[in-house]
Amino acid sequence: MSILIFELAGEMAMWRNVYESMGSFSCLGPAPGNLAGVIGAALGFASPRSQAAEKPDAKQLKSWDKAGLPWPVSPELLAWEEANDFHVACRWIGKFPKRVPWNINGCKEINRSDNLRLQQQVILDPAYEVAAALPAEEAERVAAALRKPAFPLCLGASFCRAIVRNVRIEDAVPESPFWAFRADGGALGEATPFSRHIVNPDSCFERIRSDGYWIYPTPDQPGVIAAEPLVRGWVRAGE
Amino acid sequence: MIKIQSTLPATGNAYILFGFEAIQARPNLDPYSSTLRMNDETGQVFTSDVHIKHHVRRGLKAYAVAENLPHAAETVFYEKEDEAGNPCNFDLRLKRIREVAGISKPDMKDALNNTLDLPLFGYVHAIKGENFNVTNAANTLFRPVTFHDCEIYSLGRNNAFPTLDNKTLKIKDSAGSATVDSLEYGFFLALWEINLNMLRVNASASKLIDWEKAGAAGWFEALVNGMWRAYSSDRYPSFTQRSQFAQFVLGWMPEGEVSYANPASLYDRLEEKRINTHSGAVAALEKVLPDFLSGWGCSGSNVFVKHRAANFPVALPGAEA
Repeated sequence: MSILIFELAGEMAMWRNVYESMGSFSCLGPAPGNLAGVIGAALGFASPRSQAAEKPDAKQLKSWDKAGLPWPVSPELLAWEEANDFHVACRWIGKFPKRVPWNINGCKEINRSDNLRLQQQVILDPAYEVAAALPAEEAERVAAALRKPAFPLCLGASFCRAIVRNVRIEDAVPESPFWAFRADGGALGEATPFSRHIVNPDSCFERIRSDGYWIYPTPDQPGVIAAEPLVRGWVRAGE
Repeated sequence: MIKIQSTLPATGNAYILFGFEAIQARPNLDPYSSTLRMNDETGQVFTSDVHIKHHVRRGLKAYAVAENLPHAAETVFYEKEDEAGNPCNFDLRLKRIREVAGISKPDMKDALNNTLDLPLFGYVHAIKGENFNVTNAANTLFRPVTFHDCEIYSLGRNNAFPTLDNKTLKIKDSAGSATVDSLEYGFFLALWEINLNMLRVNASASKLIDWEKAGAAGWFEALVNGMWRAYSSDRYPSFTQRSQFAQFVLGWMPEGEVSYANPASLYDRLEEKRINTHSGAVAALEKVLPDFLSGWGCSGSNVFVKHRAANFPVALPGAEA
């Protein structure tokens, strides 16, 4: 196993919270499923409902749609996560975390001549270090893809373009009290729902499972040095 | 017309830096607070990607007319009103695009393949049973922002027709007056990132710009001309937009590591942070822009488009388009 490490940054991030009905308040950091998505975009794994999908299985899409899964995750990405036993860790390396209002006049669904106003709270100047445990060859392939991504990389939403820097391969995850840690009970501090892709969506027609929280330590609320900051980034329904 | 002669590679990211100035204007007010968007610490004014894309859409349509593209007046999907001023919604726009394109057998990709804005800026085709999404190929990497501290004036304004109090049927004493903040001068820099693979995915079946013949260069031409027209010949006459002017556009395809510097960070390198005039902005950019572009891997050999306004003398890498 190799440890692929990279910095993920940008001007703002919008990591939507699955437990927040309006989807307008960003978590401080990405969930494991978000990080898998960033890697999948770099590798060119398209959602079957995306224009980039080459030959989507129309029959399967129809049945998924009927069963309540209108926007499935890329099957290639799900297979990749399981085949490589994708494990990931992430830590905030930015300054004092700051949320700012990001209000815009949208025009996605216009039924009146008024503007559709969207109010969101985004993370300003986000910066993370991500570590992924992968087989050595795959780590090299992902590193190359992150340097020259197939699709645009985003920090949770397409208006938050991502910047990837300092991509490297190490033997171990650097020791730090700031790696996000999992909490099964109630949330504390900067809690991101612990959301992972379900690699067999056919059996449950859900894209992700959120169980517990991934807590991001911050400069004002540092965590502890965990023996193993890596978490398994995927889950199989029925486990 | 800005022409792009270069052939662009199939993958990787290209960058476009677009400079425009706003003089006594109110660009991109916060829709909730109706105030300018500012960095309170530095006095820099910024806008949003949504705002600049809204204006570029108008420029794209002007470009389509100038280039005599098919159904040029209906080459932008996101229009809030039809030509008679009636409000539009998604279904009405889709219907209209099909009408003008002469499509009798509808296909779920009709809007994508018969407009200019959707392949560039993406959209979600949220129709049950045929839903799909198109990721934006072109987007600003950072918020468009002035690279300097700005002077903001509070201006009192009177309405020529004060409002009537419906209960008393008397004219309100203070009605019709308001104080608004106004940007005295701002030189904005908008850095766009364009993913070439995504552009191919989105645009390769377009009926407006033939991908086989024009390739990515044809789409870049539409984008930079749309941008330029929106801030020059086809400016919107509103108080917020009419006094905003294109200054330069520069596109390049970097190789290797780049600085990823935000144009907003040029503020740190300014000797005089507050700039109130065009000449002041030009003088400052002459000092700070070369290093910024160099950090972004922009050089004469990889510039594929360069165009400057007549009053913008700052030297930029590459040959003039």
